[in-house]
Amino acid sequence: MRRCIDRLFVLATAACLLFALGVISFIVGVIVWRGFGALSWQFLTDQIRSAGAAGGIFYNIVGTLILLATALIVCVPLATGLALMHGVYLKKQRSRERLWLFLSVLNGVPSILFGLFGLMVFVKFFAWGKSWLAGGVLLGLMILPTVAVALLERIKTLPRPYIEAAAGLGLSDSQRVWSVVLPQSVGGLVTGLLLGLARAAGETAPIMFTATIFAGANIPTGIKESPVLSLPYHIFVLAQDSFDPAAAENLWGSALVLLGLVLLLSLLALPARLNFHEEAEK
Amino acid sequence: MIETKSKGQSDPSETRTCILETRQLKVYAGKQVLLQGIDLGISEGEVFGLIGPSGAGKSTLLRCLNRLIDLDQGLRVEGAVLFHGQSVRGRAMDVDELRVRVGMLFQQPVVFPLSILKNVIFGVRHQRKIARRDRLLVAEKALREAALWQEVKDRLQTPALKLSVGQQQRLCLARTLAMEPEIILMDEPTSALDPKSTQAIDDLIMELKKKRTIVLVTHHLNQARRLCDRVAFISAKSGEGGRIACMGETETVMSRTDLAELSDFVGCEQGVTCCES
Repeated sequence: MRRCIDRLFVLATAACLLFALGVISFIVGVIVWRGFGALSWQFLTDQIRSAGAAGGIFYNIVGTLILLATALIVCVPLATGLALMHGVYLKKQRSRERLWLFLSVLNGVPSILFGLFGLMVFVKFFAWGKSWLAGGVLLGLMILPTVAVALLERIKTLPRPYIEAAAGLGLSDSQRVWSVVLPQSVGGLVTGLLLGLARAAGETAPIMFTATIFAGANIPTGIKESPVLSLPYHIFVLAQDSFDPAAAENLWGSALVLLGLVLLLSLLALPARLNFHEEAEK
Repeated sequence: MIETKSKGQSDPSETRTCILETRQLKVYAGKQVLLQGIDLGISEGEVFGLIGPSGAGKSTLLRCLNRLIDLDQGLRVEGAVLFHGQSVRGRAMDVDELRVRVGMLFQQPVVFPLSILKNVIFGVRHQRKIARRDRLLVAEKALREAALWQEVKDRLQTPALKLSVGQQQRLCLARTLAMEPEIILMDEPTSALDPKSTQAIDDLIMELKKKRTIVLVTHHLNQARRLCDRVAFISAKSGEGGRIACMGETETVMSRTDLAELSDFVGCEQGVTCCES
């Protein structure tokens, strides 16, 4: 009987795994199947033409990368600070719980509300207008909880003897953070960033009010009123408004490029993540 | 300030000044008392042993001496710890500087996932600026003092975690010695080691005691007999905090038969009788 239950349990978990793999494979398969035909050197290097029915997505890729890079620059110091506050500097359990609650709430805010917040604060109040900076900062704030939680979870698992040994050698709080806590936890930061940026790369709602337009922009030269093109918004508009079959092909091609971008981010981070794991296991 | 005689001095009447002492030191975890009314004085150049059963508070006492206990949340310390007559818990005391001067060697070797060389200079490079070319000299001096130089001199760049546990413990000692502390607190430094490595550490302590003051927590009475000038026996009845039951020159304390707890402890170590504590 017990063996029967064991086997049923294994079967149930295997079924879950197969279901998840099936869904992912189906989504990826459809995107590759429908989008592969659109891919060409010209598609990747040309600018948008004929309302998306012709030309390429070069500036959409560039715009997306600018937004992601800005989000990364905004998010890394903030997430590191929050994680260090939680894991190192806040001594009272209640304070840590409040910070955790704040991060959970922030993580639960719908992306459309982030978009409205960005519209009110960055676009209107700061008078940046539609700008890559507004969108990048907003995306950085949106992925902040993901990155901070990944880092602070890693800090929590840091071997306590490391901290004690460093303190026993007379290292101050800040020296312990720079020499022990951060080098040993940076794998968590990379993991969190990877997850966060992958999410940010596909977000449309926060940037549609604040940073991106469908056509008519290239490399931004200023901060105020400097919108960029982006892949998610491009896909969103083509999917919603275009009845042209050529545009539909470009839509799937853009989706495939976006998928590839997320995969590339994962691959870029992989050597660093593996290296950190090996360091920890040595 | 307390003055004490020290074993091995040519003139028995010679006295040494205490450099580290505690006065009515108490430690609480909530309402529970971990240590009660600890008074002791440690003289310059002596090896002072803390012996006693597990859970008596020996390590807690040790961690009070360089304020490493500050890292343990929920513990409350009362009383005084004086280093050269200055309260280590006073506002004027720089706790990081205190820990440089009162170094610590832990029960388990704690090596960082770095090279042997980087481990040795890990603390000292934060304490003062060392030119890159001088790092090797600093490391060599510390490794020689910790009797590890001959074993690692050709592989200083290899990961320290590849060393044996005994070598790792000597590496940790080298790392502490590189800071040039006045006092080294050793918390059962040989408890995780095999007899050969234990002997190596014991020999090192014998060598180090010529130049430094050492406070040694140990369960091994033979080790205490061999190394310590004086010992304090810390006992704890159930529900009460640890207290110093007796203190004095090592042989004098070991030979006391009027203290039941000490007799039990010594008896257990020698296999004479079995004790519960």
